Formats: sequence, C-alpha cells, structure tokens
Amino acid sequence: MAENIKFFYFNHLFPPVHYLQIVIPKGSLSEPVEKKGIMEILSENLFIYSKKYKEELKPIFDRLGANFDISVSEEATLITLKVIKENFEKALSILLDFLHYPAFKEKNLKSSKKQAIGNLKISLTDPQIVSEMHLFDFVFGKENPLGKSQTPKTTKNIKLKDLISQYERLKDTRNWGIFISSPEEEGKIKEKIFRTLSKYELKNLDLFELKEVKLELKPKVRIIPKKDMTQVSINLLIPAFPRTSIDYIPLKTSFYSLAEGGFSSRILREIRVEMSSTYGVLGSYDAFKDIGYLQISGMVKNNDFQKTVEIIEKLYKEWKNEGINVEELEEAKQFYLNSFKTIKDDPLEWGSFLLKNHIQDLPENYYEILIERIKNLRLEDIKEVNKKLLEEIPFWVFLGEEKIIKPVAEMVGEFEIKSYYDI
Amino acid sequence: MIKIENFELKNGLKVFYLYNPQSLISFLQVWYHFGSAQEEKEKNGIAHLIEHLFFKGTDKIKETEFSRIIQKEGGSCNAFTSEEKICFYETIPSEKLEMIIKMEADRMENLKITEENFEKERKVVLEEYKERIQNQPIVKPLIEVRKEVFGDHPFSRDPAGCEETINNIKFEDVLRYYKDFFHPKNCTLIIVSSKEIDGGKEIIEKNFGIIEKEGKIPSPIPPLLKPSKEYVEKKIPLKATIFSKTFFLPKKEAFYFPLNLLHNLIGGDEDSILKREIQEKKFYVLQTGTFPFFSNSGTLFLFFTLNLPFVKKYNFLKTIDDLLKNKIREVLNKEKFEELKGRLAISLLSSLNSTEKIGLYFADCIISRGNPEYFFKDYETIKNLNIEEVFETLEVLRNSSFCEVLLKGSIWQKT
Repeated sequence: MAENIKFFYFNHLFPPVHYLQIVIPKGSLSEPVEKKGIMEILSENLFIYSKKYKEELKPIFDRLGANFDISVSEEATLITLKVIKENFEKALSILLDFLHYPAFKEKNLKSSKKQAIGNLKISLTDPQIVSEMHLFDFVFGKENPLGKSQTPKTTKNIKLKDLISQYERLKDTRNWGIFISSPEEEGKIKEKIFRTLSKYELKNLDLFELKEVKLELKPKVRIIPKKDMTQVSINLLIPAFPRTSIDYIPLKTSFYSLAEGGFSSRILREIRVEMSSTYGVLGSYDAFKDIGYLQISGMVKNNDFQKTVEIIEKLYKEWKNEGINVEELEEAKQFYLNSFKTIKDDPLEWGSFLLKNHIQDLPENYYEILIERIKNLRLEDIKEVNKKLLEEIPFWVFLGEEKIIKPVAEMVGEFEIKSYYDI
Repeated sequence: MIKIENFELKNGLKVFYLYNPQSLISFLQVWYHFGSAQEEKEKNGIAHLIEHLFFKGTDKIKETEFSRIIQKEGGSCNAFTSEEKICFYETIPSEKLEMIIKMEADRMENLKITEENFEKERKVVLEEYKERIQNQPIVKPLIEVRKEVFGDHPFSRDPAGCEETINNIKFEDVLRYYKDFFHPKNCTLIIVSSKEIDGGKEIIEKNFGIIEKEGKIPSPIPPLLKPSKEYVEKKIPLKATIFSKTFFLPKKEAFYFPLNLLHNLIGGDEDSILKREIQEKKFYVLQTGTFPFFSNSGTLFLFFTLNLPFVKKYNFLKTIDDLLKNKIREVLNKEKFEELKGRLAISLLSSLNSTEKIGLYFADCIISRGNPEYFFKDYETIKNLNIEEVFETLEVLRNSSFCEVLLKGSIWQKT
C-alpha cells in the first residue's frame, strides 16, 4: 500500500503533537445526485466502530492522547490525526484499522441523518444559502453533482447499503497523499508511517467516474420571490478556468481587483464604501481539477438593488475588456506572494495546500512554479486571459420581494421564476 | 522556548507579549474594555458602529487603506464587538510588526470621524443588521427571546443593536464615546510574535507609550446571576420545535474545566449521553446538545433539543433533571473520567497549531479568565483535575436558577 502513496513532510517544534493528514481523492462531486450528502454522513460514521475492536474509537483515542477529524470538500476527503509524540505509531495503526475495517451501524446512520436534516432545516431559512443553492441548480442542473444540493430528501434516501458501497470507493489507495507535520526529523517519522502503512494490503479499485460537467446556456436570470425581505440577495456566476489551467494564476490575480480582494476590490469599494448599499458583496474563484468558476454574492438594500446590478455589470465589462492597472497588479501580486507566510505558519493549512495540489495532479514543485509565475505576471498577460471570459455575466440569481426583483430581471435579460424550496 | 511577559505602560495600557520563535508571523489583538452592555440603552449598537468607524482612517491612513495595507503584506485584519469588549486583530509577517503597532496606536488617538463618514457607515451597519438579523427568520425571534430571558440586565441587548437604536445614534454621541472609552487605560494589547520581547517592547513603548489620551472607565456590568423569567415561549418560522433550558452560574475559574468536561460528557460530542440516549433513540428528536458560555459577568450552561414540528409536549425538561440528579453519577466512573480528561488535554494541546490560534487561546486566558499563566498551566490543571471537583460543579449547576424556552415551529413554512 505504501508505495502508492505520496508523502509530504513539515517540521514544527511546538506544540509537542504530531499532525498527520491523509487525503483521499473522493469528495462530494463523486456522490450520486439522489443521495447528496452521503460523503458527509459516511465521514461521520467511519470512525465509530471497527470489526477489530470491541470499543468505539473515541475512548481509545482519549486514553492515548489522540484525536481526529474528517472533512469533505468537492474533490477530496481529508482525515486529520492529532496525537502526542509518544503514541504516534499506535494511534496511526488504530486509525488505519478503523479506516480499513469499519463496522457501520443502522442506529448511528439514523442519528447522523437526523442531525443533517436538522442542520438543513435551519440552513434553509437563510436566504443567502438558499440563493446560492439556486445558483448552482440554475447553472449546472439537478442531474449534475455540482448542481444538486443536499436536501432533507436526498439525506433520507441514504441507506446502510449505500454507505457501504460509497465506502468501498474510498479504499482505492491510488493517488492518496499523506502530509505529516512533526517535531521529529523527516527520516524517523517517515519510517514510522511506512512501517504502519505496510500492514495494510489494499486492492486498487475502479475509479468512480465524475459525471461530465457541462454548462448549458439557459435564461440569464433566475428569480426567487420571498416576502418580507428588506434586502435582495444577489448571486452570480461566470465560468472560468480549472486550477490546472495555465490561465488560472493570471485570472486569480486579476479577480482580486474586481471582487475577491475585500476593500482592495472595485466592487466592494463602489457598493459599500461609496454607496453604503451593502455590508458586503464579495467574490470567490473556485477552481477544481476540471472546472472553475467565478462567483460574486451579497445582500443589498432594496432601494439600491437596480443600481447595484448596473454597477456590477459595468465593472465586470470594464475589467474583462481593459484588465487592471499597474497599482492593482502590484497589490494583488504582493497579497498572494506574502500570504504564503501565513499559510506556512499553520502546518495544517500548508498540508491542505500541498495535498490539494497532489490530488489535482499538479507538479510536485507547484508552489515554486506558482510563486515564480505570480512574480513574473504582466498587465498584458492579465488582459489576454480576461478576454477569454464571456462578454457578459451569464448567470444571475435574485432572491427578494417580487415587486423589486422582477423589473430588474426584465432589464438584465430572459428570466425564469422558481419557488424558494424548489432546489 | 515560548516566553511570556506582561507590563503596563505609564499611560495605563496593559500589554501581554508571547514570544514564540517558531512563529512565521505575528498576531496582534487590541481589546477595548467596552461593549454593548455598557452602552446607553437607547443607543444600542454604538459600540459596534464605532468598531466599523475604526476602519475609516486617520490623517495618515486614508479610508479603506487600513485593510489594504495589511492585505498587501499578506496579512489579514478584522474586528468584533461583544457585550463586554471590542477586539481588533491582525495577522502580519513578523518583519511588519512595527508597521501594524504604529497603525493601531494611530487609530486609538487620531481616528478621523466626520459627519459624512459617520452617516455612510451607519447605513452599512444597518445593512449588516438586516443581513444578519432582520432577514434571518430564525435569528429575529431569538433576539426577542434574549430580551425576555435577560430582562433588565444589559445582556438583553444584542451588540448589533436594532434599526431604531442605530438611527438614534448621533454624530456627537460617537465622538463622545470615542473620546471617553478608547484610550490606553481602558485597553489591553496582546501580541504573539517571533520577534524577541525586548525588541517588541521597544516598538510598543515608542508608538503606544506616547499616547496621552485620557478618558473614562465604563461602569462595571452587573453580574448575570439569574434570568428575568423562568419560562419564555415564542413562535418561529421553522419546520421544527426547539426546547432549551439554560442554567445561570456565577463566574468562577474553578468551574471552567469541570463544565467543559461535563459539556463533553452530556451533550458536546457524538458519543455524549444526550446524543446516545435521546437523539439515537427518540425518532422525533433531530438534534440535541449542550453549550457552556463563559463571560466576565457570569456563566451560562444551555441544554437544547431540535424536534419534529408536531412535538408540542415533551419530557425533555424531566430528562435534564434526571440527568443532573442521577444519570451523570452513574456514567461518570473513574475510567470514563480519565478518558474525558484525556480528551480535554489533547484537544487543548493540538488546537495550538498556528500563531493565530495560540494568540486566541492566550487572549482567552487573559481577557475572559484573567490570568496569562493559564496558558502554561492549563494542561497540568486538566491532568490534575479531580472527579470530586466535577461533582461539586454539577451540584452548583443543578441548584442554579434557570430559564426554559419553547420555540414553537410550524408544519408549513411561509416563503
């Protein structure tokens, strides 16, 4: 098993704890759409019981001075082990036993499903969360793992046998990555890890194929009427480049000046600082191995809604056609270059960065490449990449009072109306 | 390796400095000892509004530039307002520590508040209130519940304020509050850095030491000893019904770890008693748990369940009584106690994985618990915790005043 796995090391002195992260390249994008949420439920049920131990994992770890957590992103599942120095090998071995020989129980599954449904019931009262769910449904459609959100219905669909078959997909050790941050030197700790891993013989299973992600151009706007709203929730999406694309770094740098850079971004300065129409309208660039998109979202004052939409459209067009200026480029470059000091200050954040590069098949020296490319970026590079984006913002979602959002939707383009819970 | 030093400048600024040679960055926190519980009632929200105005610049730093300068260096900054404090915090590469100390000292003394930027920021604060409270169907009734539970105690007011009180605030009020409460004597500076203490001390003296601004010390917040009502009921637009019971305990350091341990045992973890006995067994209970809340004014310990909407009557309150009286004593044997101590100890130790997290924990020891030495002592305190201390705390909890809240949901939600 060990030879299939990519290994990363980091040294820290304090605290006297080992941090080990295992990344498995299966995340929520690998879920069947009718059982959305299964990876989260699986992660909660994975480390409770094992076929090899009579006891649950938590009390065993309590006695060893160890704990763990598990998180699921779109592309990966990340398991983190934290353990005091002297019990590292023992804790890792037990964690791997639980990972390889889990025993799933109906009562735990039921309880996790109820917990998830409770969380969803609360989340669905938040207009911004619902507006974002509508955006992905609108853009990608309910048949696509990116378009379909977890709902109480998809959660109820998850049965014990589904959990087991989803678990089988995790066991494929191809492309696993391990990051260790340790007070011990690399050679010693690596030997301990590989000695423990060598006890596990695992087959390579067929990879679960990601469903093809297609962007269908539909109406430009979706509106969701909601009564008694004193603001409008705006969400928009622009298709962009995956993280593996050569255009990713120029676009990431450039988008900082439009929407991702907080008070350094044109949109926030205009809508919050100049107009006082919002607490925050902010951007994010989500980039995976095969797909990427820019997203801008926020809540704005009812009275200023139309003006806000016009400003976002105008700022997008200017930015897309003319790029950014020399001061903005320098500001964005400095931010990204210097931010690695903060990332490296937290071994777990640094580990997540390295493991993300690994599962996206980026080169081993991607960090160095990234730094070099940001340093050498020129205004012309940015202009060229911005030009590749769509001429106009193709997908908008407005959620708010119908009499406020409908006239603006008519102004923006063809639109459709959906009800609040139709996701 | 790690060293701590605390000192007070001549102008009254209290400084706590943690030197960590392993840090790649510095983390700085400026705590003003003034929060929403010390505001005039009709100007509720003024502390939060002033927090916003701190980013409006000075003669040296233009509006919006504060955040941009820090981001350019790869750092980040933010702030929050609670009932008791306002905190501004920044992460920054250590070679830029002096720059950020200079900027914080500058805005303590020279904040540029004009009528124009005050009016603009009031509008932004109102939008924040709408986004976080007014347009959140669950949060809005909770603010009403809070008013009823705390009654005349200033904790009844949310730090965000409300539309009416935010609109009551005048330009002159902001100037007066800034002058009165934002000065060295009413402030604590906390720094975690890889810069040696002597070097850091010199920079602090140079920049904060020259501030002559004097002001008032806000009146103390009355202790939070009991609720205003024992029972509160409200309707909520949610397809679920929520029950809660909150116990009011005095502030006491001796409760800190026993209550955290009881939280893990009763409702904080996946293997806790409430999750196993209630959530797993009763089909109508979706979620259940506990929350401890520690403040300088008092300690709260809350039990809750989230249930299917048709559940109108339910013996959750009886379950809590039984739990506190019998069940905990049955479950908490010596072996279980040692396991839970181990869980608290490793959670504490392993959470210190970055300069920012070290800084937040260090600040909690100083600001909420009143002693920086806890940073070094807590691990041993947990190891030496005695089961009798937990049972004593349990008895205090069981005999404390409480408030029960019923939030009645509906089968259908209005959109």
